[in-house]
Amino acid sequence: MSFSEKIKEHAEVAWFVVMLILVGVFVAWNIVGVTNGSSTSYRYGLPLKSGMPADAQNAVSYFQAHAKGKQEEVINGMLVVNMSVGFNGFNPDLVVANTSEPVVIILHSQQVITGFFMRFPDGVVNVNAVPGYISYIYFVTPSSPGNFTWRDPEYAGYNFSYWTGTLEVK
Amino acid sequence: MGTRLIQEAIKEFLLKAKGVAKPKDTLGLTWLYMLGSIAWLITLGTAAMNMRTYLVYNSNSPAVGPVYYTALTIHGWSAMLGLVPDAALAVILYSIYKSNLSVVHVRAVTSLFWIANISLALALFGGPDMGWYMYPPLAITDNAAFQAFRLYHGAVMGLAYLFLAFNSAAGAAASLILVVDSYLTKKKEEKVNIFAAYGIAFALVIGVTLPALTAAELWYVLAIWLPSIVKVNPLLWVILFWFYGHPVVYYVPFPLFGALYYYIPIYARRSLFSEKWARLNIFLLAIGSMLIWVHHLQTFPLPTDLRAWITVSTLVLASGSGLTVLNLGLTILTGKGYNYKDPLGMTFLIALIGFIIGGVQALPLPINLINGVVHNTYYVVGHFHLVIWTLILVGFTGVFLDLLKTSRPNVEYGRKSRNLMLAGILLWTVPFVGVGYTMTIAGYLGLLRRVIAYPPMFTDYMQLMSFLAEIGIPGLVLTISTAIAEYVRAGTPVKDKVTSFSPSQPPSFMIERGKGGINAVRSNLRLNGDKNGRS
Repeated sequence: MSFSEKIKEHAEVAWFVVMLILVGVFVAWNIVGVTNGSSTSYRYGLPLKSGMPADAQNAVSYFQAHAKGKQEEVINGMLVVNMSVGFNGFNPDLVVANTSEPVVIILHSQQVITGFFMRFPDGVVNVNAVPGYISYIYFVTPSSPGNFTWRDPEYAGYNFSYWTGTLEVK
Repeated sequence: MGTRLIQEAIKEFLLKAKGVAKPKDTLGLTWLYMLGSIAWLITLGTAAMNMRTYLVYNSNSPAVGPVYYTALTIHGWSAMLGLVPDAALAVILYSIYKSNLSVVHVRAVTSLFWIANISLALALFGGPDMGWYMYPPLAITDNAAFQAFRLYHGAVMGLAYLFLAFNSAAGAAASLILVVDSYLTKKKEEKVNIFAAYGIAFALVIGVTLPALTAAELWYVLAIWLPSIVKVNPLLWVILFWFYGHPVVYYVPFPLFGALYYYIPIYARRSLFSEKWARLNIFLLAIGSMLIWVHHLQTFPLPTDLRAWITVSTLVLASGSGLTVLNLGLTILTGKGYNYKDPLGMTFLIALIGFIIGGVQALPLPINLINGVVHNTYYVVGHFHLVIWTLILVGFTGVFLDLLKTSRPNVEYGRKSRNLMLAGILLWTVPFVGVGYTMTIAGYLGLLRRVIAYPPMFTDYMQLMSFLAEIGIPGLVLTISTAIAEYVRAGTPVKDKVTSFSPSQPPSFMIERGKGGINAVRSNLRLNGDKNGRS
């Protein structure tokens, strides 16, 4: 084997190892970010209670403990909505909120796997809801008034395309 | 006289059909699985264009739902439970053949082919409408609001899922047999070529992951037949499903990576830039593809730690895919002029380019914050369809073209047919890249997948998708039909001198006929290569 061939052989394996090291560094960087809270990649936007800010989690805990039978309540400036979705669509299908108001939706899907999808000027809210589990949706309403439509993004029956709801921001 | 000729033609056709249906060697099996793939491709394509008819109609109502979602499920099942396993096994079988290995248990693999495909057809006859990934409990719902099958109800639904379990179990068993037979027929002194190395490795991946689908389907069978004893946990079921559901998207692409590693150097007129990378890469792709399931469930209520894991597994897979592109790209760039004028050269080049432009769309998907923006939208549909239309279907076409030449070495793609095939490949690829990116843009803007009613702003996007698809479909038909025409022409007794061929062993059902085609040529010509005619 010539010298140049030896170099080539080692270079191939070396690059393969370097590539895996780069993967390891990137993953470690992400995990450190998640652990110390400097990265929100894994938490905000998740349909988990732990994926919401602390004040939203507190509002939900208070609502679940005290608001038996209520569909919505404003707790410490946060609108908490108890919502279900099934073969007849969303209930409620209208939520009225103020501009720049934090909102938490506690989403129950009792019959089949469904979801909640809504586009705002600054981003998208998109979570799934599974029977037997509760999904939590957290967002802050836009700073200017307007109506926004939410939909079910998960195929859940013949007429799921028609399951919509309206967020009215005053 | 006329009647007798027709009778003879029918008799001859039936004899040939019997030869195809009951193959006796590896190449014959390749043909069987290849033809099975094409049958499912026609079925799924017909269903897709039926769906597009509804999608461009501006007055759909919920009453359209049952018809539309039956077409959607036929499309999805034909693709993922029919085309994908058949095409993957066809490519793997061909890779085994090309590496001088062979299938020992031909009858067993043949039986498993028929069990898998007939079982799927029986399940499809029930008119499923729950979508290809059959999420629970929708997929076992049978009430006034929703029937998972249009025609099967009650306990018969359980039977349909049992058929599906036979389908997936037969696919897994056939894959494992190919792994074992490859091992049994490998000669100690011979190295398995890169095509077969990928083929065998991913036959093993199929054999390991497809049983997860069998388990999920059997869970449904038990839940339907024994509802008081067996319950379905939806979250656990979807996790089990995606353990199969993610790797299945690689069943065809990764064996095709082996094909790209094998063929692209031939048309680049140099050896592969790094065979070592290609072989090491198998581990990354195999491991990565099996551990990545959660990235389909980022909008589901799953623990953060589990979600964090997918960053690792996805990046492992992405690095393997990136290395493939780098390796093949460097092979082409440092070669002695890539021969894209050959239809095979063109198909494998487009398969590689298609993987790049379809794969790029996938890069943001594992990132949790971005995933929520596009999950369940046409963005994702555009991504995976673009990979299917380019890497999978065009790459598969390339393997099919070579299979034709291997089966009848006197098949010659003359200038006119080459031009027709090249035009066909481009006529297919260019519009479908347009469809893919139109879907991507519409999805990013919020067009949800599977809906039959959508905001008016997406009407033009939908019409453009349908228009481009209508233009593109004849392209693939032109390429494949031209190749088949050349194959048929080569099957007539050869009178002129054969100018070029790739020496190979024809399938047994052709040899046994004892006349015409390859046999006429083989009786007069001594083939190069080993005693089996393989180079």
